[in-house]
Amino acid sequence: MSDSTSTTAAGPLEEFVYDDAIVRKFMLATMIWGFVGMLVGLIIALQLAWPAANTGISFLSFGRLRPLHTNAAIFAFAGNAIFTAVYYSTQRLCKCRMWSDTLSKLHFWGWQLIIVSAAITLPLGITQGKEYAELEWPIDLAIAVVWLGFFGTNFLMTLVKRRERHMYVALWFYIASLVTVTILHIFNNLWIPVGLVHLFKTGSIPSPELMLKSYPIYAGVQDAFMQWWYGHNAVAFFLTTPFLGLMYYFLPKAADRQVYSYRLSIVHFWSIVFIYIWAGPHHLHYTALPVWATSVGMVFSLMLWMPSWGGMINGLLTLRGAWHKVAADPVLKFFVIGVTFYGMSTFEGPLLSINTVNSLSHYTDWTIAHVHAGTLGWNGFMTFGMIYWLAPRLFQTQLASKKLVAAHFWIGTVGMLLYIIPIYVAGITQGLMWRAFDQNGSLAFPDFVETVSKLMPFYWARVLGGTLYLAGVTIGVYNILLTWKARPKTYEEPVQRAPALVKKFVPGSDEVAEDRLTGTVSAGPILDKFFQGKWHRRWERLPLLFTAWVVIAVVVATLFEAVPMFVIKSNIPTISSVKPYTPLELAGRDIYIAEGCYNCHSQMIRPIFSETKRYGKDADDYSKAGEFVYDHQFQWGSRRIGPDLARAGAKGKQASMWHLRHFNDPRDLRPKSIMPTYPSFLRNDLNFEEIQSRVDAMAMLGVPYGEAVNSAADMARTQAHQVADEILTQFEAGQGWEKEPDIWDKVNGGIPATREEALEALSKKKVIAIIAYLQRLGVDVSKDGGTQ
Amino acid sequence: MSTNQKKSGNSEASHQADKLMVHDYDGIREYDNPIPGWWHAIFLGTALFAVLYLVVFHLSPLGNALGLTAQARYAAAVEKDAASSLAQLGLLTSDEATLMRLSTDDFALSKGSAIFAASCIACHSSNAGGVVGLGPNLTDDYGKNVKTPEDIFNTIAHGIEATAMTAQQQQIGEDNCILAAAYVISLRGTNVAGGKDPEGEPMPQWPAYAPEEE
Repeated sequence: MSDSTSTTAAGPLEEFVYDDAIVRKFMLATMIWGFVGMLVGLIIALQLAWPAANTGISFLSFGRLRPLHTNAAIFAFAGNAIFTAVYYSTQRLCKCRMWSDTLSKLHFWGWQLIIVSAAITLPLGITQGKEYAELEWPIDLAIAVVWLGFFGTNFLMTLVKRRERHMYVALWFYIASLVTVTILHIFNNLWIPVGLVHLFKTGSIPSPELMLKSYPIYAGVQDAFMQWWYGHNAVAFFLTTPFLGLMYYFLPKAADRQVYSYRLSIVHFWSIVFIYIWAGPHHLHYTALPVWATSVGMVFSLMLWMPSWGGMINGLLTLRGAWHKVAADPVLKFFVIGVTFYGMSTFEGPLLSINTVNSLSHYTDWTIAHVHAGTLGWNGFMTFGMIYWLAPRLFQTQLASKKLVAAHFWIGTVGMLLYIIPIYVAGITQGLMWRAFDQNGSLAFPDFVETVSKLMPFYWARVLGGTLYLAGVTIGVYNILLTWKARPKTYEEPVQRAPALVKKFVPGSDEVAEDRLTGTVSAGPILDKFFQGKWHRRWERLPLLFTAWVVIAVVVATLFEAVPMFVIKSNIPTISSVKPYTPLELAGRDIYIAEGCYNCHSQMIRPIFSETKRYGKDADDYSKAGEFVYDHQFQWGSRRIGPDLARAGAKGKQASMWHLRHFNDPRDLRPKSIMPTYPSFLRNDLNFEEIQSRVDAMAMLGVPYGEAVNSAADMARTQAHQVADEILTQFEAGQGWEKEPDIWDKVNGGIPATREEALEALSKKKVIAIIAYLQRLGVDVSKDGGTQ
Repeated sequence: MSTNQKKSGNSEASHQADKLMVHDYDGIREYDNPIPGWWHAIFLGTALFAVLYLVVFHLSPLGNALGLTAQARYAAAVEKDAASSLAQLGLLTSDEATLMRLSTDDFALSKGSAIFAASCIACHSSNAGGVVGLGPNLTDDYGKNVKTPEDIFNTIAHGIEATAMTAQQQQIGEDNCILAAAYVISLRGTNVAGGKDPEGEPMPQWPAYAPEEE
């Protein structure tokens, strides 16, 4: 392998050894977390089909496990897969060992520690309540340190110290992932830790729950904007660009073919980096986000179609002349299916970003199907292809069983289809049911539960499909472990030789644009030289310059949207009747967030006629930007497995006693409901004392709390007594509160002797706070004359 | 095997035209192939569409004028609904005669049952048979707070103080309360299977409603 790209005389050969031990670690972690993450996915799929699987144990309920599933799939499975790819390929593409073995190890163990802490905190309900950004602030800090401090430093320094003059396209994609994820993570996770506020104000140590609690500095519309800027680009720069890097290295390696087009890789790389960032607002069509923003999000999403397909084309056309190998080699089979799913998902993405399509798909399972086509097909299969290619090389032995690889491929493919197809059908079915009118102009399916029960056959099919996909992964884990067991006693560590880069680089003839045009007008030749793209070769030699350009592209694109979003006042017209939540309601809201209610309930009535008809008081009653100014964080949700709750206290208001019984057992009141039971709300006491710090933290964020700043706990107790008294009164109007042994067993350990005792016991419980919160939703805007 | 060789041989030959770049990264090499023309065409097409879209919908009054914006489409839907809806039912008032008239009108009952399914079944069950400890059975001849058709409307519209029966007029408007009341009036005596035991007092017969002869 002579260094033919440089005409510079090579210096003396240096000897070095690749660090494959770290790659082995990341690879095993990928398999193990992949299994865990998908197992949790299977559990929550089962819970939707069979609500008893929620078990009533709070840390196993859907709202808490769903974030665990998504975080595990993205950050644990895909994350470790990315690091496997990066650590293996970067060393070889740079002809040098990773810059620091210590940083490599800190990165590996730090990342696993983050995953473990996620696996502990999310089921405990410790969450920021923003999708894929659920992890609370101490873990956020750890992510920043491990990602940028350990991984980033190590990776960038390896690029700086490399022995290969030019950076291959895979490295460009890794750079883009590294810097963009850092920016996204930091700016979507700016918060005030409530526990620290408590510590400074009272001088006492807060409860662990409060210590880990934070409120984001953004509220409502702006928080939604930041969240989906983050959320969409997490898909882009965590699940797309690193995997394109992976594809660019491992696919030509496995196929032993040349990459189809270098020029295409330049154009599609830069267009992806610049265009993706704009697309986030397409997650917020028809919401209270200003329409200009969603329109910009939509048109940029459409423009993403070809840049994304650039990757697919380069992947599939690289296999020209190697299709006979695909038939024989399961690694290539995985890659082909993976790249194909990438192509389908990146066609579907722009399609779903079109606002009229989105009005049907949004809040339905269509989104879930789309996401799983991407993750199971693209991320999953690219990862498995890579691992099966790597395992024999890293463990320096034969793959334990090729048949099992084929079995994994076929079971996984069938499982994936069996998952995705029914969920597409479920999504479209439910979307159409929501918007259907009968011949008399009434909603054809006014009962929300009916639109969910209809989906049960599809949900069971998904359980089956998910089981198969997981079975495939299990076979994979087994096969890799068998391979690992057959490893040699000590690994060979072949010594590599390459000359160090010399300081002064003289570009070779292929590095400089040719003078192909001559003429009196100079623009022609200049443009011709530009389009020869040789200037990009220079960037490929200068990793820090390259990184700087990526940062500029990402930041500039972000600012184009973010600046107007934060600066233009008219984006959020004030509604004078909207007031802050009371201290008790705020505490209830924090329970709502902790339980992950947003995983199934939206709080956003879109200006779509079937939707105001279902959720609004009248045709003008859709959600307005001004409603959310005190919502640190916004809770608009992205999927309606249950009905929208934006007007839970106004249109669709239920008696507080109804809510108590409903939390105790939803199926007691609605036999076909699939909502989990929440016995812990009835059993557990609310910490009234610490509500003060929650209010204080909100006040620091500019929420006008008035007298509550001094007396939050007392105000909360008074309101809790009122709500509990109201509930008892409502019981008394029926068969009497003493006829509810099931409820009092949980609240009081038995039926209270007196009404006083009942009131005392009930008013202390968490359920009172969350009922108070729900009864407040939509009330302010439903007051007459509120809108300005 | 031979077909494979043939295939690869063919495509190998067609590759002769592709120019291989000089560079080599860990054995990976790249062709200097041009970007496909259709790629450029579609990419430029989406960019043009972007400009056109923003002009039509945001930078000019065209979108609203042509009724294309979400706002315009929503307003049209609201208008269509208002035009097609309740006019045929005549004046909607909550007096006994009107309620009884509506309780035999198919259109009013269809509207009323939809409102019932949206707002009432949480406590009265989908079949109106009632829920233990919450709403009473609405299909029997007993009434808890109800003796006359107007009582039904009042219960729905204003709720019953200190009970789980919440006031609906604020939530869904008077017309919808009237239609729901008409539907509930029509349920009397259907005695659904599995309904709750009667609560309250037996209700007097509904007043007779005789449609006016044409």
